[in-house]
Amino acid sequence: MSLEEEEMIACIPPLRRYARALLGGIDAADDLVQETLRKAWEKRHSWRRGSTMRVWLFGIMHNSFVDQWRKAEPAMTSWEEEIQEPLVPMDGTVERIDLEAALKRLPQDHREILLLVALEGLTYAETATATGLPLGTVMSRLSRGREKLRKLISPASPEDWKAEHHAR
Amino acid sequence: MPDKPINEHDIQGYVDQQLSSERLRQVEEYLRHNAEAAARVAAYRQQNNLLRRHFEPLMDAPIPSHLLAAISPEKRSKVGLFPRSIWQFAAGVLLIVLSGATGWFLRGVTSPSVHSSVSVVSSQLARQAAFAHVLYSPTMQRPKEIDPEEEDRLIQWLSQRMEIQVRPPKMRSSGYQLIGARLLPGAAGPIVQFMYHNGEGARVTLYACVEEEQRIGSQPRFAEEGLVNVFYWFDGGFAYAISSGIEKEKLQDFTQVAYEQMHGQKTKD
Repeated sequence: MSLEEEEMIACIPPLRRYARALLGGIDAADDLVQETLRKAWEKRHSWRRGSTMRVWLFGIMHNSFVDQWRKAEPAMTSWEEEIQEPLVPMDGTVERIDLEAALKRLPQDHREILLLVALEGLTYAETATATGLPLGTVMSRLSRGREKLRKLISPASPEDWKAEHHAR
Repeated sequence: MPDKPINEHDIQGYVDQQLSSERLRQVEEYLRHNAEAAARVAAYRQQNNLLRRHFEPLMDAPIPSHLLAAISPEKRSKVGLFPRSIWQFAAGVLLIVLSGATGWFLRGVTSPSVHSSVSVVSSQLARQAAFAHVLYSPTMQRPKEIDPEEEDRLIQWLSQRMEIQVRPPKMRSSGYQLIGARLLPGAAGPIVQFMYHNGEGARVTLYACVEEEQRIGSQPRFAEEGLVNVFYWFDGGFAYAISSGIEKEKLQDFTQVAYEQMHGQKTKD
């Protein structure tokens, strides 16, 4: 087994995890992983030994995601966002947070960045490399994604929620 | 002496531990006086934990063969490397996982419907060991070398389960470090798998299990199982296999060193 093969196989679990969190279903996720691995194998000579293969693979996955999968999910318009109920029951029990439903409500751009950092533990620089985005864009999407997720999964009283939405 | 004011980048960096220690101190000071920012930091850290806990099971799940097949497809046409039965075998595995600060712990076992009828016969041993090598290599994501104290505790625990004294060979002089161990179910009793890795990330596993019938010689024999090379032999009621993706000559060197430690004598070749 070559070093490339062994390294790539070792990266499969985090790739599956990230794809699963990004797309929300294991079959779609594994399709994205398979496509990523296929492309990575074709361009394996362009991976530089000593650089992190995981980051390189996430970059290829990001490009595949943007090319094929992103189109499938319609962007949410702002009025749709406004009328949505919070996801947490009013007694705020942490166990009943539907994390995946909350992730789905994040715009894909924010979800991608949030997951690369918060779930996969990539540094900001690695995230910028993998997505091809400027560092400033990474930081602003991360910040907005986190704040939005926080609002989606934080317990709030109906009064708080209404006040916040009517205040705009 | 005014420091640069704390900005959003710093807040995020604090959550993700990507700040210099000096900046970290400044942010901590800032957070002491800013309840709103402190609440956000706490919430974002909770998110990190929630996310990681929620998606953790995928890190230990066996890898579907169609994903493995995407890597070097031209070699994958070798028949029989990933038969479906291996996924059933994997379903009832006890994992001994090394975590960073807290030492090793036991992960859950899943379905009892595992096909533990994996009888260990000469070439099947090599095949079984090769499967176990490929199946579990990827789950060591950021392998942490076991320190001597942890290693002793691990060996004691394993020895109790195996009911004999288990002693993984020390392979440092060959450049390899022990990074973990697993206990797998076998027909004749538990199978232990030790995993080593070297500075270049190459992984070698040592697989040992009870084998009552002496069907294999006591000198290591070579087998190529798909992309994995294996040396295997029998000694004193146990069958052993050393598996890796590294090339045969290097694996032979490793095997000779390990064999001598384990049996107190060199291989004859």
